[in-house]
Amino acid sequence: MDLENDELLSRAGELDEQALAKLHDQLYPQVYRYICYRLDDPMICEDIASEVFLRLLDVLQRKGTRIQSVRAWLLGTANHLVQDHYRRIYRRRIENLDDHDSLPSDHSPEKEADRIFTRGDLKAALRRLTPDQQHVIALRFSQELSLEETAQIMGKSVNAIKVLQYRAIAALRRQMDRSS
Amino acid sequence: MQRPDLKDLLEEGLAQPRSGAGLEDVLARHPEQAEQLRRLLETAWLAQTLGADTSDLDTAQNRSRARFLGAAHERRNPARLTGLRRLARMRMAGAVTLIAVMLFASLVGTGLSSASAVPGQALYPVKRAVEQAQMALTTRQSSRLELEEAFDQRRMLEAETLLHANKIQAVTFAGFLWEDPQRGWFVDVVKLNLTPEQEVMANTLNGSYVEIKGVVRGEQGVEVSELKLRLYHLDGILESAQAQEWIVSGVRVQIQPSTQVIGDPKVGMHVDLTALRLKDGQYLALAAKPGGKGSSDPLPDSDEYRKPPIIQRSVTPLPTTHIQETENAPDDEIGIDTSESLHTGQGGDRLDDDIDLEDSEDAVEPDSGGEDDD
Repeated sequence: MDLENDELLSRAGELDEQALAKLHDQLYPQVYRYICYRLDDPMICEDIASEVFLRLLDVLQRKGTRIQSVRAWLLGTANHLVQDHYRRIYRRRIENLDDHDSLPSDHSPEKEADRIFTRGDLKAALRRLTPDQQHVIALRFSQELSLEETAQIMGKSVNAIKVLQYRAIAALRRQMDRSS
Repeated sequence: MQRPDLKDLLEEGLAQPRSGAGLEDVLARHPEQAEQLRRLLETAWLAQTLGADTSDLDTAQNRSRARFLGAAHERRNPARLTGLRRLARMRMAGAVTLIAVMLFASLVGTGLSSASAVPGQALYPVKRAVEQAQMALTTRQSSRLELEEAFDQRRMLEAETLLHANKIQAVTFAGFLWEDPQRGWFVDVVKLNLTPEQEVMANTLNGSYVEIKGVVRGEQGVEVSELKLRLYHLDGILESAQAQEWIVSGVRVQIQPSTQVIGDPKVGMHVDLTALRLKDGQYLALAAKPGGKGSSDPLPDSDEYRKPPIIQRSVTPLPTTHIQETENAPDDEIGIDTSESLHTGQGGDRLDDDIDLEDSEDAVEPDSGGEDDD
Protein backbone atom coordinates (compact mmCIF):
# COMPACT_ATOMS: atom_id res chain seq x y z
CA MET A 1 0.00 0.00 0.00
CA ASP A 2 1.26 3.43 -0.93
CA LEU A 3 0.63 4.81 2.55
CA GLU A 4 3.03 2.40 4.06
CA ASN A 5 5.64 3.52 1.64
CA ASP A 6 8.75 4.37 3.59
CA GLU A 7 9.56 7.32 1.40
CA LEU A 8 6.17 8.93 1.93
CA LEU A 9 6.45 8.46 5.67
CA SER A 10 9.97 9.78 5.65
CA ARG A 11 8.91 12.90 3.75
CA ALA A 12 5.97 13.36 6.10
CA GLY A 13 8.43 13.14 8.97
CA GLU A 14 10.28 16.05 7.46
CA LEU A 15 6.97 17.95 7.40
CA ASP A 16 6.86 17.92 3.62
CA GLU A 17 3.49 19.50 2.89
CA GLN A 18 2.71 17.39 -0.17
CA ALA A 19 3.44 14.16 1.70
CA LEU A 20 1.43 15.25 4.74
CA ALA A 21 -1.53 16.23 2.57
CA LYS A 22 -1.42 12.88 0.79
CA LEU A 23 -1.17 10.99 4.06
CA HIS A 24 -4.05 12.95 5.53
CA ASP A 25 -6.35 12.67 2.52
CA GLN A 26 -5.85 8.95 2.09
CA LEU A 27 -6.40 8.07 5.73
CA TYR A 28 -8.82 10.71 7.00
CA PRO A 29 -11.99 9.03 5.64
CA GLN A 30 -11.19 5.80 7.48
CA VAL A 31 -10.47 7.60 10.74
CA TYR A 32 -13.57 9.79 10.42
CA ARG A 33 -15.86 6.84 9.61
CA TYR A 34 -14.45 4.89 12.54
CA ILE A 35 -15.08 7.75 14.98
CA CYS A 36 -18.54 8.57 13.60
CA TYR A 37 -19.44 4.93 14.03
CA ARG A 38 -18.77 5.19 17.72
CA LEU A 39 -20.11 8.70 18.39
CA ASP A 40 -23.37 10.50 17.64
CA ASP A 41 -22.31 14.13 17.37
CA PRO A 42 -20.73 15.00 13.98
CA MET A 43 -18.93 18.02 15.47
CA ILE A 44 -17.27 15.87 18.12
CA CYS A 45 -16.39 13.29 15.45
CA GLU A 46 -14.68 16.00 13.46
CA ASP A 47 -12.84 17.39 16.47
CA ILE A 48 -11.53 14.00 17.50
CA ALA A 49 -10.53 13.02 13.95
CA SER A 50 -8.64 16.27 13.62
CA GLU A 51 -6.95 15.71 16.98
CA VAL A 52 -5.82 12.26 15.89
CA PHE A 53 -3.92 13.76 12.97
CA LEU A 54 -2.38 16.50 15.10
CA ARG A 55 -1.04 13.80 17.40
CA LEU A 56 0.39 12.05 14.36
CA LEU A 57 2.47 15.17 13.74
CA ASP A 58 3.91 14.86 17.26
CA VAL A 59 4.94 11.27 16.63
CA LEU A 60 6.38 11.99 13.22
CA GLN A 61 8.59 14.62 14.80
CA ARG A 62 9.64 12.51 17.76
CA LYS A 63 13.23 11.51 17.41
CA GLY A 64 14.07 7.82 17.34
CA THR A 65 10.55 6.56 16.71
CA ARG A 66 9.10 4.55 13.88
CA ILE A 67 5.49 3.87 12.96
CA GLN A 68 5.05 0.40 11.54
CA SER A 69 1.55 1.05 10.21
CA VAL A 70 0.20 4.59 10.07
CA ARG A 71 -3.35 3.36 9.62
CA ALA A 72 -3.14 1.09 12.65
CA TRP A 73 -1.63 3.92 14.69
CA LEU A 74 -4.35 6.39 13.65
CA LEU A 75 -7.23 4.00 14.34
CA GLY A 76 -5.69 2.96 17.64
CA THR A 77 -5.32 6.59 18.68
CA ALA A 78 -8.89 7.29 17.54
CA ASN A 79 -10.04 4.44 19.78
CA HIS A 80 -8.24 5.93 22.78
CA LEU A 81 -9.59 9.42 22.17
CA VAL A 82 -13.15 8.12 21.83
CA GLN A 83 -12.75 6.30 25.14
CA ASP A 84 -11.41 9.50 26.71
CA HIS A 85 -14.45 11.33 25.41
CA TYR A 86 -16.85 8.84 26.98
CA ARG A 87 -14.93 8.89 30.25
CA ARG A 88 -15.40 12.65 30.35
CA ILE A 89 -19.11 12.36 29.67
CA TYR A 90 -19.69 9.64 32.25
CA ARG A 91 -17.79 11.62 34.85
CA ARG A 92 -20.06 14.60 34.24
CA ARG A 93 -23.16 12.44 34.49
CA ILE A 94 -22.07 11.04 37.83
CA GLU A 95 -21.60 14.56 39.12
CA ASN A 96 -25.17 15.37 38.07
CA LEU A 97 -26.88 12.34 39.54
CA ASP A 98 -28.94 14.45 41.94
CA ASP A 99 -30.43 16.35 39.07
CA HIS A 100 -33.56 14.24 38.56
CA ASP A 101 -35.42 16.97 36.72
CA SER A 102 -33.76 15.83 33.53
CA LEU A 103 -35.56 12.49 33.58
CA PRO A 104 -38.60 12.32 31.24
CA SER A 105 -41.85 12.56 33.16
CA ASP A 106 -43.41 9.55 31.42
CA HIS A 107 -40.47 7.28 32.15
CA SER A 108 -41.62 3.87 33.31
CA PRO A 109 -40.26 0.33 33.03
CA GLU A 110 -43.37 -0.79 31.15
CA LYS A 111 -43.07 1.86 28.47
CA GLU A 112 -39.35 1.26 28.24
CA ALA A 113 -39.96 -2.43 27.53
CA ASP A 114 -42.35 -1.63 24.70
CA ARG A 115 -39.86 0.45 22.79
CA ILE A 116 -38.48 -0.70 19.47
CA PHE A 117 -34.74 -1.23 19.44
CA THR A 118 -33.66 1.87 17.51
CA ARG A 119 -30.42 3.06 16.03
CA GLY A 120 -29.86 5.16 19.17
CA ASP A 121 -30.47 2.12 21.34
CA LEU A 122 -27.94 0.18 19.35
CA LYS A 123 -25.33 2.90 19.81
CA ALA A 124 -26.07 2.99 23.51
CA ALA A 125 -25.76 -0.79 23.63
CA LEU A 126 -22.43 -0.60 21.82
CA ARG A 127 -21.13 1.75 24.49
CA ARG A 128 -21.85 -0.88 27.14
CA LEU A 129 -19.44 -3.34 25.49
CA THR A 130 -15.86 -3.64 26.66
CA PRO A 131 -13.40 -1.23 24.99
CA ASP A 132 -11.87 -4.01 22.88
CA GLN A 133 -15.30 -5.24 21.80
CA GLN A 134 -16.32 -1.70 20.78
CA HIS A 135 -13.04 -1.31 18.90
CA VAL A 136 -13.44 -4.57 16.97
CA ILE A 137 -17.05 -3.86 16.02
CA ALA A 138 -16.21 -0.35 14.84
CA LEU A 139 -13.23 -1.56 12.82
CA ARG A 140 -15.16 -4.36 11.17
CA PHE A 141 -18.44 -2.57 10.55
CA SER A 142 -17.54 1.09 10.02
CA GLN A 143 -15.38 0.31 7.00
CA GLU A 144 -15.61 -3.41 6.47
CA LEU A 145 -12.06 -4.29 7.36
CA SER A 146 -11.19 -7.96 7.03
CA LEU A 147 -10.41 -10.16 9.99
CA GLU A 148 -6.74 -10.05 9.08
CA GLU A 149 -6.65 -6.24 8.81
CA THR A 150 -8.51 -5.90 12.10
CA ALA A 151 -6.08 -8.30 13.74
CA GLN A 152 -3.12 -6.29 12.46
CA ILE A 153 -4.57 -2.99 13.68
CA MET A 154 -5.42 -4.38 17.11
CA GLY A 155 -2.21 -6.35 17.42
CA LYS A 156 -4.07 -9.63 18.09
CA SER A 157 -4.44 -12.97 16.35
CA VAL A 158 -7.22 -13.62 13.85
CA ASN A 159 -8.75 -16.14 16.23
CA ALA A 160 -8.77 -13.60 19.06
CA ILE A 161 -10.59 -11.16 16.78
CA LYS A 162 -13.19 -13.82 15.95
CA VAL A 163 -13.78 -14.43 19.65
CA LEU A 164 -14.04 -10.71 20.42
CA GLN A 165 -16.44 -10.20 17.54
CA TYR A 166 -18.65 -13.12 18.55
CA ARG A 167 -18.83 -11.99 22.18
CA ALA A 168 -19.61 -8.43 21.14
CA ILE A 169 -22.42 -9.46 18.80
CA ALA A 170 -23.83 -11.88 21.35
CA ALA A 171 -23.78 -9.16 24.02
CA LEU A 172 -25.59 -6.77 21.69
CA ARG A 173 -28.17 -9.45 20.93
CA ARG A 174 -28.82 -9.99 24.63
CA GLN A 175 -29.37 -6.27 25.12
CA MET A 176 -31.77 -6.16 22.18
CA ASP A 177 -33.69 -9.11 23.58
CA ARG A 178 -33.90 -7.49 27.00
CA SER A 179 -35.18 -4.23 25.48
CA SER A 180 -37.91 -5.91 23.53
CA MET B 1 -18.88 -35.02 14.65
CA GLN B 2 -17.83 -31.95 16.60
CA ARG B 3 -20.15 -28.97 16.39
CA PRO B 4 -18.47 -26.02 14.68
CA ASP B 5 -17.75 -23.03 16.82
CA LEU B 6 -20.34 -20.24 16.59
CA LYS B 7 -17.60 -17.61 16.24
CA ASP B 8 -16.47 -19.35 13.02
CA LEU B 9 -20.03 -19.74 11.76
CA LEU B 10 -20.72 -16.06 12.45
CA GLU B 11 -17.73 -15.08 10.36
CA GLU B 12 -18.80 -17.48 7.63
CA GLY B 13 -22.31 -16.00 7.65
CA LEU B 14 -20.98 -12.42 7.55
CA ALA B 15 -19.00 -13.29 4.43
CA GLN B 16 -22.24 -14.19 2.61
CA PRO B 17 -24.72 -11.74 1.07
CA ARG B 18 -27.60 -11.01 3.45
CA SER B 19 -30.12 -12.80 1.29
CA GLY B 20 -29.12 -15.58 -0.98
CA ALA B 21 -28.32 -19.20 -1.39
CA GLY B 22 -24.94 -18.88 0.30
CA LEU B 23 -26.41 -17.78 3.61
CA GLU B 24 -29.23 -20.29 3.49
CA ASP B 25 -26.66 -22.96 2.72
CA VAL B 26 -24.63 -22.03 5.82
CA LEU B 27 -27.77 -22.14 7.97
CA ALA B 28 -28.95 -25.42 6.40
CA ARG B 29 -25.63 -27.11 7.04
CA HIS B 30 -25.89 -26.34 10.76
CA PRO B 31 -29.57 -26.81 11.64
CA GLU B 32 -28.97 -27.09 15.37
CA GLN B 33 -27.29 -23.69 15.46
CA ALA B 34 -29.26 -22.08 12.63
CA GLU B 35 -31.66 -20.07 14.78
CA GLN B 36 -28.95 -18.81 17.07
CA LEU B 37 -26.75 -17.95 14.11
CA ARG B 38 -29.56 -16.12 12.32
CA ARG B 39 -30.19 -13.95 15.38
CA LEU B 40 -26.49 -13.11 15.65
CA LEU B 41 -26.33 -12.23 11.97
CA GLU B 42 -29.39 -9.98 12.24
CA THR B 43 -27.66 -8.15 15.07
CA ALA B 44 -24.42 -7.86 13.11
CA TRP B 45 -26.26 -6.51 10.05
CA LEU B 46 -28.01 -3.95 12.22
CA ALA B 47 -24.63 -2.94 13.62
CA GLN B 48 -23.32 -2.55 10.08
CA THR B 49 -25.97 0.07 9.32
CA LEU B 50 -24.66 2.40 12.02
CA GLY B 51 -21.68 3.55 10.00
CA ALA B 52 -23.60 4.72 6.97
CA ASP B 53 -23.95 8.46 7.63
CA THR B 54 -20.80 10.32 6.67
CA SER B 55 -22.45 13.12 4.70
CA ASP B 56 -20.19 15.73 6.32
CA LEU B 57 -17.03 13.88 5.38
CA ASP B 58 -15.77 16.24 2.66
CA THR B 59 -16.26 19.38 4.72
CA ALA B 60 -14.72 17.78 7.78
CA GLN B 61 -11.78 16.52 5.74
CA ASN B 62 -11.08 19.98 4.31
CA ARG B 63 -11.15 21.55 7.75
CA SER B 64 -8.97 18.85 9.23
CA ARG B 65 -6.45 19.11 6.39
CA ALA B 66 -6.25 22.86 6.92
CA ARG B 67 -5.65 22.39 10.63
CA PHE B 68 -3.16 19.56 10.10
CA LEU B 69 -1.10 21.38 7.47
CA GLY B 70 -1.40 24.64 9.40
CA ALA B 71 0.09 22.95 12.47
CA ALA B 72 2.87 21.47 10.33
CA HIS B 73 3.51 24.88 8.81
CA GLU B 74 3.84 26.45 12.26
CA ARG B 75 6.29 23.77 13.29
CA ARG B 76 8.37 24.43 10.21
CA ASN B 77 8.24 28.17 10.79
CA PRO B 78 8.08 28.68 14.53
CA ALA B 79 9.41 32.21 14.24
CA ARG B 80 6.42 33.28 12.21
CA LEU B 81 3.99 32.65 15.03
CA THR B 82 3.88 36.09 16.52
CA GLY B 83 5.02 39.56 15.77
CA LEU B 84 7.24 39.55 18.84
CA ARG B 85 8.95 36.36 17.71
CA ARG B 86 9.35 37.81 14.27
CA LEU B 87 10.97 40.81 15.88
CA ALA B 88 13.25 38.53 17.86
CA ARG B 89 14.50 36.96 14.67
CA MET B 90 15.32 40.23 13.03
CA ARG B 91 18.93 41.11 12.98
CA MET B 92 19.94 42.63 16.26
CA ALA B 93 21.09 45.89 14.80
CA GLY B 94 17.85 46.38 12.90
CA ALA B 95 15.76 45.54 15.93
CA VAL B 96 17.66 47.92 18.16
CA THR B 97 17.27 50.68 15.61
CA LEU B 98 13.56 50.06 15.29
CA ILE B 99 13.04 50.02 19.03
CA ALA B 100 15.04 53.19 19.41
CA VAL B 101 12.96 54.89 16.73
CA MET B 102 9.72 53.72 18.28
CA LEU B 103 10.74 54.80 21.75
CA PHE B 104 11.91 58.11 20.46
CA ALA B 105 8.74 58.62 18.48
CA SER B 106 6.40 57.68 21.29
CA LEU B 107 8.20 59.34 24.22
CA VAL B 108 9.12 62.64 22.69
CA GLY B 109 6.03 62.95 20.55
CA THR B 110 7.96 62.97 17.36
CA GLY B 111 5.73 60.24 16.01
CA LEU B 112 2.75 62.56 16.15
CA SER B 113 4.70 65.42 14.73
CA SER B 114 6.09 63.29 11.93
CA ALA B 115 2.67 61.96 10.94
CA SER B 116 2.04 64.96 8.73
CA ALA B 117 5.59 65.12 7.36
CA VAL B 118 6.05 64.97 3.61
CA PRO B 119 9.09 63.98 1.55
CA GLY B 120 11.81 66.58 1.90
CA GLN B 121 11.06 67.40 5.53
CA ALA B 122 13.39 66.50 8.39
CA LEU B 123 10.89 64.26 10.20
CA TYR B 124 9.88 62.31 7.12
CA PRO B 125 12.45 59.51 7.66
CA VAL B 126 11.06 59.07 11.20
CA LYS B 127 7.57 58.68 9.79
CA ARG B 128 8.76 55.99 7.40
CA ALA B 129 10.72 54.19 10.11
CA VAL B 130 7.63 54.02 12.33
CA GLU B 131 5.71 52.59 9.38
CA GLN B 132 8.37 49.96 8.84
CA ALA B 133 8.18 49.00 12.50
CA GLN B 134 4.39 48.67 12.24
CA MET B 135 4.75 46.43 9.21
CA ALA B 136 7.43 44.30 10.86
CA LEU B 137 5.15 43.64 13.84
CA THR B 138 2.18 42.68 11.71
CA THR B 139 2.09 38.98 10.86
CA ARG B 140 -1.31 38.19 9.41
CA GLN B 141 -1.35 38.43 5.65
CA SER B 142 -4.66 40.29 5.43
CA SER B 143 -3.57 42.81 8.08
CA ARG B 144 -0.31 43.42 6.26
CA LEU B 145 -2.17 44.11 3.05
CA GLU B 146 -4.50 46.53 4.84
CA LEU B 147 -1.51 48.27 6.36
CA GLU B 148 0.20 48.48 3.02
CA GLU B 149 -2.94 49.97 1.51
CA ALA B 150 -3.02 52.60 4.26
CA PHE B 151 0.63 53.48 3.59
CA ASP B 152 -0.06 53.70 -0.14
CA GLN B 153 -2.85 56.14 0.65
CA ARG B 154 -0.44 58.23 2.73
CA ARG B 155 2.12 58.33 -0.08
CA MET B 156 -0.56 59.50 -2.47
CA LEU B 157 -1.79 62.23 -0.08
CA GLU B 158 1.81 63.35 0.46
CA ALA B 159 2.20 63.77 -3.29
CA GLU B 160 -1.04 65.75 -3.39
CA THR B 161 0.17 68.01 -0.56
CA LEU B 162 3.42 68.66 -2.41
CA LEU B 163 1.49 69.47 -5.58
CA HIS B 164 -0.64 72.07 -3.83
CA ALA B 165 2.43 73.54 -2.18
CA ASN B 166 4.11 73.94 -5.61
CA LYS B 167 7.10 71.92 -4.45
CA ILE B 168 9.61 70.13 -6.62
CA GLN B 169 10.16 66.81 -4.98
CA ALA B 170 10.82 63.16 -5.85
CA VAL B 171 7.94 60.88 -4.86
CA THR B 172 6.85 57.28 -5.05
CA PHE B 173 3.24 56.30 -4.61
CA ALA B 174 0.60 53.83 -5.78
CA GLY B 175 -3.08 53.86 -6.58
CA PHE B 176 -5.70 53.24 -9.22
CA LEU B 177 -4.93 54.77 -12.59
CA TRP B 178 -7.75 56.62 -14.36
CA GLU B 179 -8.24 59.21 -17.08
CA ASP B 180 -10.25 62.43 -17.08
CA PRO B 181 -11.08 63.20 -20.73
CA GLN B 182 -10.44 66.94 -20.17
CA ARG B 183 -7.67 67.00 -17.56
CA GLY B 184 -5.62 63.92 -18.39
CA TRP B 185 -4.29 61.03 -16.35
CA PHE B 186 -4.55 60.62 -12.57
CA VAL B 187 -3.65 58.16 -9.85
CA ASP B 188 -6.49 58.74 -7.41
CA VAL B 189 -6.34 62.53 -6.89
CA VAL B 190 -2.79 63.07 -8.13
CA LYS B 191 -2.40 64.44 -11.64
CA LEU B 192 0.23 62.73 -13.79
CA ASN B 193 2.37 64.27 -16.48
CA LEU B 194 3.00 61.47 -18.98
CA THR B 195 5.03 61.20 -22.17
CA PRO B 196 3.19 59.99 -25.30
CA GLU B 197 4.76 56.55 -24.85
CA GLN B 198 3.60 56.43 -21.24
CA GLU B 199 0.09 57.47 -22.32
CA VAL B 200 -0.05 54.44 -24.59
CA MET B 201 0.85 52.27 -21.64
CA ALA B 202 -1.58 54.12 -19.37
CA ASN B 203 -4.38 53.34 -21.81
CA THR B 204 -3.56 49.67 -21.41
CA LEU B 205 -3.39 49.88 -17.63
CA ASN B 206 -6.41 52.16 -17.21
CA GLY B 207 -8.26 51.15 -14.03
CA SER B 208 -5.36 49.09 -12.69
CA TYR B 209 -3.49 49.55 -9.43
CA VAL B 210 -0.12 50.97 -10.44
CA GLU B 211 3.10 52.19 -8.90
CA ILE B 212 4.41 55.61 -9.84
CA LYS B 213 7.87 57.04 -9.47
CA GLY B 214 8.46 60.61 -10.47
CA VAL B 215 8.93 64.21 -9.46
CA VAL B 216 6.27 66.60 -8.26
CA ARG B 217 6.40 69.75 -10.34
CA GLY B 218 3.77 72.00 -8.85
CA GLU B 219 0.57 72.37 -10.80
CA GLN B 220 1.96 70.46 -13.77
CA GLY B 221 1.46 67.32 -11.74
CA VAL B 222 3.88 64.48 -11.24
CA GLU B 223 6.42 64.08 -13.99
CA VAL B 224 6.45 60.30 -14.18
CA SER B 225 9.73 58.47 -14.57
CA GLU B 226 8.32 54.98 -13.98
CA LEU B 227 4.84 53.59 -14.35
CA LYS B 228 4.23 49.92 -13.65
CA LEU B 229 1.55 47.51 -12.63
CA ARG B 230 1.59 46.64 -8.93
CA LEU B 231 1.91 42.89 -8.43
CA TYR B 232 1.42 41.20 -5.07
CA HIS B 233 3.10 38.10 -3.85
CA LEU B 234 0.68 36.37 -1.49
CA ASP B 235 2.14 33.62 0.61
CA GLY B 236 -0.12 31.81 3.05
CA ILE B 237 -2.42 28.95 3.90
CA LEU B 238 -5.18 28.08 1.47
CA GLU B 239 -8.21 28.27 3.77
CA SER B 240 -10.91 27.81 1.16
CA ALA B 241 -10.84 26.89 -2.52
CA GLN B 242 -14.05 27.52 -4.43
CA ALA B 243 -14.03 27.44 -8.22
CA GLN B 244 -13.85 31.23 -8.56
CA GLU B 245 -12.51 32.37 -5.22
CA TRP B 246 -9.81 31.26 -2.83
CA ILE B 247 -9.15 32.52 0.65
CA VAL B 248 -5.44 32.63 1.42
CA SER B 249 -4.66 33.42 5.07
CA GLY B 250 -7.78 35.58 5.27
CA VAL B 251 -7.33 37.30 1.91
CA ARG B 252 -9.99 36.78 -0.76
CA VAL B 253 -8.47 36.08 -4.15
CA GLN B 254 -10.41 35.69 -7.37
CA ILE B 255 -9.54 32.73 -9.56
CA GLN B 256 -10.33 32.99 -13.25
CA PRO B 257 -9.91 30.52 -16.10
CA SER B 258 -6.85 32.51 -17.12
CA THR B 259 -5.22 32.00 -13.72
CA GLN B 260 -2.21 29.77 -14.12
CA VAL B 261 -2.50 27.13 -11.40
CA ILE B 262 0.62 25.01 -11.09
CA GLY B 263 0.34 21.65 -9.34
CA ASP B 264 -2.64 20.73 -7.21
CA PRO B 265 -3.06 23.16 -4.32
CA LYS B 266 -5.57 21.92 -1.74
CA VAL B 267 -7.26 23.49 1.24
CA GLY B 268 -4.86 23.66 4.15
CA MET B 269 -1.77 23.73 1.98
CA HIS B 270 0.70 26.54 1.88
CA VAL B 271 0.38 28.40 -1.43
CA ASP B 272 2.23 31.14 -3.28
CA LEU B 273 0.28 33.47 -5.55
CA THR B 274 1.03 36.33 -7.87
CA ALA B 275 -1.97 38.64 -7.86
CA LEU B 276 -3.35 41.99 -8.93
CA ARG B 277 -5.35 44.27 -6.69
CA LEU B 278 -8.94 44.96 -7.70
CA LYS B 279 -11.05 47.98 -6.81
CA ASP B 280 -13.41 46.15 -4.47
CA GLY B 281 -10.55 45.26 -2.13
CA GLN B 282 -10.18 41.79 -3.61
CA TYR B 283 -7.27 40.34 -5.49
CA LEU B 284 -7.09 38.55 -8.79
CA ALA B 285 -4.65 35.64 -9.01
CA LEU B 286 -2.49 35.52 -12.10
CA ALA B 287 -0.58 32.44 -11.01
CA ALA B 288 -0.73 30.08 -8.06
CA LYS B 289 1.19 27.05 -6.87
CA PRO B 290 1.65 25.00 -3.73
CA GLY B 291 4.22 26.75 -1.59
CA GLY B 292 6.37 25.93 1.36
CA LYS B 293 8.77 23.05 1.59
CA GLY B 294 8.57 20.42 -1.10
CA SER B 295 7.57 22.82 -3.80
CA SER B 296 10.43 23.70 -6.01
CA ASP B 297 8.63 24.92 -9.12
CA PRO B 298 8.94 28.66 -9.25
CA LEU B 299 6.03 30.83 -10.28
CA PRO B 300 6.52 32.42 -13.67
CA ASP B 301 8.53 35.57 -13.37
CA SER B 302 6.31 38.44 -12.41
CA ASP B 303 7.56 40.49 -15.32
CA GLU B 304 5.60 38.19 -17.61
CA TYR B 305 2.51 39.78 -16.20
CA ARG B 306 3.61 43.35 -16.54
CA LYS B 307 2.07 43.97 -19.94
CA PRO B 308 3.06 46.17 -21.59
CA PRO B 309 6.61 46.42 -20.27
CA ILE B 310 7.66 49.14 -17.88
CA ILE B 311 8.29 52.41 -19.61
CA GLN B 312 10.90 54.67 -18.11
CA ARG B 313 12.00 58.09 -19.08
CA SER B 314 14.75 60.31 -17.92
CA VAL B 315 13.54 63.01 -15.57
CA THR B 316 14.79 66.52 -15.66
CA PRO B 317 17.43 66.72 -12.93
CA LEU B 318 16.31 68.35 -9.73
CA PRO B 319 18.25 70.97 -7.84
CA THR B 320 20.16 68.81 -5.37
CA THR B 321 18.98 70.79 -2.36
CA HIS B 322 15.36 69.78 -3.04
CA ILE B 323 15.80 66.10 -3.65
CA GLN B 324 14.63 63.76 -0.92
CA GLU B 325 14.66 60.25 -2.27
CA THR B 326 11.56 58.46 -1.15
CA GLU B 327 11.93 55.09 0.38
CA ASN B 328 10.05 52.02 -0.65
CA ALA B 329 9.35 50.70 2.77
CA PRO B 330 6.35 48.39 2.53
CA ASP B 331 7.71 46.58 -0.50
CA ASP B 332 10.63 45.17 1.36
CA GLU B 333 8.68 43.40 4.02
CA ILE B 334 8.38 39.70 4.60
CA GLY B 335 5.46 37.96 3.00
CA ILE B 336 4.35 40.63 0.57
CA ASP B 337 6.74 41.22 -2.20
CA THR B 338 5.83 43.78 -4.75
CA SER B 339 9.27 43.95 -6.16
CA GLU B 340 9.92 42.59 -9.58
CA SER B 341 11.41 39.29 -8.55
CA LEU B 342 9.06 36.98 -6.71
CA HIS B 343 9.83 34.81 -3.74
CA THR B 344 9.58 31.18 -4.64
CA GLY B 345 9.75 28.02 -2.61
CA GLN B 346 9.71 30.09 0.54
CA GLY B 347 9.35 27.40 3.13
CA GLY B 348 10.92 29.29 5.95
CA ASP B 349 12.91 27.67 8.68
CA ARG B 350 12.31 24.05 9.29
CA LEU B 351 12.84 21.73 12.22
CA ASP B 352 14.59 19.22 10.07
CA ASP B 353 16.86 17.65 12.62
CA ASP B 354 14.24 15.99 14.77
CA ILE B 355 13.18 13.11 12.57
CA ASP B 356 14.91 9.85 12.09
CA LEU B 357 12.33 7.34 11.02
CA GLU B 358 14.75 4.95 9.45
CA ASP B 359 17.23 4.39 12.20
CA SER B 360 15.02 3.34 15.05
CA GLU B 361 13.53 -0.04 15.59
CA ASP B 362 11.16 1.13 18.29
CA ALA B 363 7.66 1.03 16.88
CA VAL B 364 5.27 3.67 18.18
CA GLU B 365 2.12 2.68 19.95
CA PRO B 366 -1.08 4.59 19.17
CA ASP B 367 -1.39 7.71 21.24
CA SER B 368 -3.17 6.76 24.40
CA GLY B 369 -4.89 10.10 24.90
CA GLY B 370 -5.45 10.31 28.61
CA GLU B 371 -5.11 14.02 29.01
CA ASP B 372 -8.36 14.01 30.91
CA ASP B 373 -7.51 11.45 33.46
CA ASP B 374 -6.93 13.97 36.14
